[in-house]
Amino acid sequence: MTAFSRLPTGGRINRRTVLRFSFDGRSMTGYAGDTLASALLANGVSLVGRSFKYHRPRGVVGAGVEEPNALVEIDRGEGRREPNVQATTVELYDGLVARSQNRWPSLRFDIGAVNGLGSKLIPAGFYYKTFMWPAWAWKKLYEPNVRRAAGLGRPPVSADPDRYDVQFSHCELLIIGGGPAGLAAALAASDQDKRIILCDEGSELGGSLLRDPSARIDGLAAGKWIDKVRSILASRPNVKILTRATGFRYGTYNMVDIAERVSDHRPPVAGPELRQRWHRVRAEQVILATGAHERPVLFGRNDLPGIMLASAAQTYVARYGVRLGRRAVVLTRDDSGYSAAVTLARSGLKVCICDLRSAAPSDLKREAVAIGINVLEATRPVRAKGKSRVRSIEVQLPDGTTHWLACDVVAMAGGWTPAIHLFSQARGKTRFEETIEAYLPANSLHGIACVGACRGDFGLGAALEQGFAAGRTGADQASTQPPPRCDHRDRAHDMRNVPIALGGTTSMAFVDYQNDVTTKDLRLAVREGFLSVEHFKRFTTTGMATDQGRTSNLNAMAVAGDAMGVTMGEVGITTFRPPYTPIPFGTLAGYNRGDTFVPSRRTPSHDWAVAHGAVFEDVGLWKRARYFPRNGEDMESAVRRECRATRATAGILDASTLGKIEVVGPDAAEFMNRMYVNAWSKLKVGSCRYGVLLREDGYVFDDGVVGRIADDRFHVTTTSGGAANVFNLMEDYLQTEWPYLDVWLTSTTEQWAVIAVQGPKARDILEPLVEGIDLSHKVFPHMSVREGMILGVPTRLFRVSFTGELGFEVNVPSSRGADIWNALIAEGERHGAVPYGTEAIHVLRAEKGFIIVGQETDGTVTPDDVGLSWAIGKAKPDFVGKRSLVRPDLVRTGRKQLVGLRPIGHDRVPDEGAQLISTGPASRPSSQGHVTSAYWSDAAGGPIALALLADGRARHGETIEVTTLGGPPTPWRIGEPVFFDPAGERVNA
Amino acid sequence: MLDPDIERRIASLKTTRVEIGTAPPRHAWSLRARAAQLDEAAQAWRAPLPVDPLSVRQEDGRWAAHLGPDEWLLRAEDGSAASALFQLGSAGPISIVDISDREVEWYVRGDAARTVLAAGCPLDLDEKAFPSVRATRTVFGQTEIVLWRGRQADEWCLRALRSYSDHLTRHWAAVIANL
Repeated sequence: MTAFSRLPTGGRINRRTVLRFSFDGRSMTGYAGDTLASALLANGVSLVGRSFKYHRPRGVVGAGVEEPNALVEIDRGEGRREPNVQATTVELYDGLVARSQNRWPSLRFDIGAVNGLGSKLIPAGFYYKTFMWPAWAWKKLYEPNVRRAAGLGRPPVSADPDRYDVQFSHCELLIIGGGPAGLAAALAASDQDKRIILCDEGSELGGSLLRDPSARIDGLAAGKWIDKVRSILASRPNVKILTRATGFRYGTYNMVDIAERVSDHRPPVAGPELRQRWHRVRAEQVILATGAHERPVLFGRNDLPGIMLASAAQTYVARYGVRLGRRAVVLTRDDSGYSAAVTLARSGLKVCICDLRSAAPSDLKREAVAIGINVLEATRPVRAKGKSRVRSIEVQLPDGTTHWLACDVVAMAGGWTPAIHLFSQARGKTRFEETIEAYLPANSLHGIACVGACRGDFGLGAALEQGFAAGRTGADQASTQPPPRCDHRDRAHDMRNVPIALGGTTSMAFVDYQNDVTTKDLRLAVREGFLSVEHFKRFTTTGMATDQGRTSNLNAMAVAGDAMGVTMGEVGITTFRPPYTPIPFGTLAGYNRGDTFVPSRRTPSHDWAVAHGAVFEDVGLWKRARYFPRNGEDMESAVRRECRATRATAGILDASTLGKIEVVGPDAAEFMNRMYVNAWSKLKVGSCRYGVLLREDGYVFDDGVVGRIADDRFHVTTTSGGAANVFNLMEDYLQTEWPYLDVWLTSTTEQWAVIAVQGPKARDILEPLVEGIDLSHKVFPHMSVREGMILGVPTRLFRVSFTGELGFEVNVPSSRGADIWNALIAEGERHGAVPYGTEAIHVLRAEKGFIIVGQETDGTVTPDDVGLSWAIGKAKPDFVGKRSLVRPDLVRTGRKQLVGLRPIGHDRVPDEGAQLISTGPASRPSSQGHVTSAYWSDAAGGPIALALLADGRARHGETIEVTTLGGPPTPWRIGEPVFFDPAGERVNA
Repeated sequence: MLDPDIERRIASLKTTRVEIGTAPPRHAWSLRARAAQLDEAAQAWRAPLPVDPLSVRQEDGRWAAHLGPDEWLLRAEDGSAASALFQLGSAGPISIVDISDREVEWYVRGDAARTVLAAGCPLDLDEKAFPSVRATRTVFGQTEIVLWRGRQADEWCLRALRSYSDHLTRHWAAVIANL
């Protein structure tokens, strides 16, 4: 264990700040500046998890978001337990609690590892091929067991207590990536009059420079240069630096989403705290300096703990001061392995480089040999050996002989994969570049520049130069800033003809560590005919884990290409989908959670209703009082009481949610004629009419009472739920079909509070409160509207009824709605009136056979189907839906028509939606219609139902059966859809 | 007037960095007119109507914002300010509708006012992009609003549908907690 520890000096950690943490219950310490991964490695922990499918022991492979293996659970307390977090991206804090996953009973001894022994039995596509038979076993045996074994990590079970912010930001330049290229770009751009946002996913700026302390820029060591640039940028007020901020989605027109981790790196506090902030950035120009990820090398058992990416090994030594082991073997397919090898050797490890290329560059070889590194050229890895950590690796020398090299660290430099995810999400096209074996941005997109490693130029010099140049693009002021320069020369990359070690024939070489996809799986997929990249990806699940195949995609293409006999470039690439890294749901939810999940719209009587114990229901976004229970009433008794009182004396309802549209202009009547089925030209000022609105297909879309306030002014009401749709439909026609009509629409839904006073005593209640309006039946008949005052407040008073009773709807400016409501309730109580809710409306209107759009209609119902033919202005040349009304299907016989149903010998209220069937001996039961509304009606003395029944109007007097859930059908008599006051005399009181 | 419990919540929307509250009620009208009627309408309004898109003109307590090609939001303390427009409307092709009560007017002021608005409004609220003469229909979270700058440098004004008042105050409270 002592072999793995902290180096005596070096790194960007703060050795004076010791942090305690625990992993699987074991207490350890690390330093400020550590990640969980670096701290674990420094404590000699190489085994950090078990793989998803085979439960193989796994260690740390990467040093950042490319990490496929080291997924852990971070426990920050109640509601803050998060599974599947990359240990390489978790900043260490004092008291951090982490646990390994996917193991039972313990990480060292895991029963699930038997999957690995039977790996021959779990090939790619296993789940598609197995569990097919016998059929009974799926529910009882397979599914429960697959469910138990499926998934990775335990999902959190309690509500997240933390808070999440959203901020819309705007800038002239957004730079994603704070490595050398991004820093150079920010430096170049920020001395101009531009708002600049520079974001980096790491805890500090610097990117790849943080693992390369030997690099020198402008004569400064990398670390010093980073500090200098950071302080320059911080001094410029037009620059906003976001660290711990991942650009995770690139939307249209340079809309980039960035998730900033505000407090994840600090010890949790007791109460809720701001955890993450979602920056939604609209940028004029974006510079992508997103860098590149290193790829593993393929050989047998290349997943053993201790085997990691060369760049990661270099990072752990140089940035975190970790002594990784005693003996390292560096496998390299390009020059970058040498830099890692040198770093490892200088940290005290015995290092051997196996260069897969036929010859190592002489200067690099000389430099390596000079510090005691053994360099083997044209040498390929075959397989590794070890139990829970690599112990040795077998390599094949150019002469064909194989040798075992003892080691406890293997560093893999398999090549670099530019991080083109965001470019691709921005609809950028990509092309395969043979010299680096990777995909690169292929076209230029408006306002987007790719610089440095993410466009395939891996050298520091190129990063600085391209970053600086991109930052100067569009500069409208001269700059005195010189571009930053580095001392060393960029090395050429040419990976053509470098063998990809494809592993031995019998051992598994892992391609996708996180999903346990091996070279064998990929070859099998190709053999089985999955030749398209999109197909073998899904069949094998390669690249489909949470790391999105950062380290595996290109290797998978190399293997599949090899199996198909084509080049990597011909295999193709899969689509990059956001988010680039996993983002907490809390961040994406932002403020749309809890009591701000969706707006709840309140009516003017809301407060009164709450105080009087109303039970509310959601109607669209509105909160409406459903009923007002008294003395512990249940819903049924409350609703029956409200209905009885309304019919006996009066009921008062807050109807403010009714949609209202003021249609104004010289062509207002013409517009109404064209929209509604009714004729409006002859409607007198001060009169109302029930209007029916169709869609173009002739089906009922909405309805409502319309009052004519002036020759050129209509007060249109719509259903509560349909208000916005009606407005949009009208606006659509007005703007696209009839722009020449001089008429305008104004939504007045919320200008007016509406209080319905319905019942025989309605007039008596209003009489003492209303001024300037004669309420007598003669002067103010049913279906008319007057303007006047109520308690000193201007009102549009409608005499209308949705109950069949004498009724008024008091419209007052909504700021006065609550006052007038209170006054009407007080006055009403003197007459025995009660407030009623939405449930009572449904009963009262159904007793009269008034339809509700959306209840009696379902988008396939014509006016005639629901008995509204009378409303159609037959003489009108046209209206929306008119031509459709003569379509053969809409005029055929046998259409379902609205009928009323009364029970025969029972008093059971049927279910809405219940089927109407004939059960005569002659025919099998078949549906002839359905119940649209059904209630208990005291006014009718029992259950009532409205239904749509085939040829219903011709079948009055017949009987029909109505299905019940879990019981025999019940018999009903078909009749008129009116159950109370069929002559309609009560409205004319 | 808003529900007492909304009023209570509004009282809590005051910190050292931002203060949010309802503005005194103004009379407001939606004016719709074609370009040909504009001069007549301005005469009836007895103040200039802005011509530039999304701009505001203000004179003698009459405030007008050009919100759409043929749409102006008019505000005034005097409830009779639009009387002549109603008369003009009954004679010609314009539309004038009282919308005083449709929305509630709010102010958001303080050095964090912009940050608070940026938690729900996708527009660029920088002085250059949103100067003092600007007014526009936009959204704050899930609420449609009309937004303009107030008299002070760090003051914003907005109108939002009355029924969304409860939601808005909750949303603002959540944002303020994150400042």
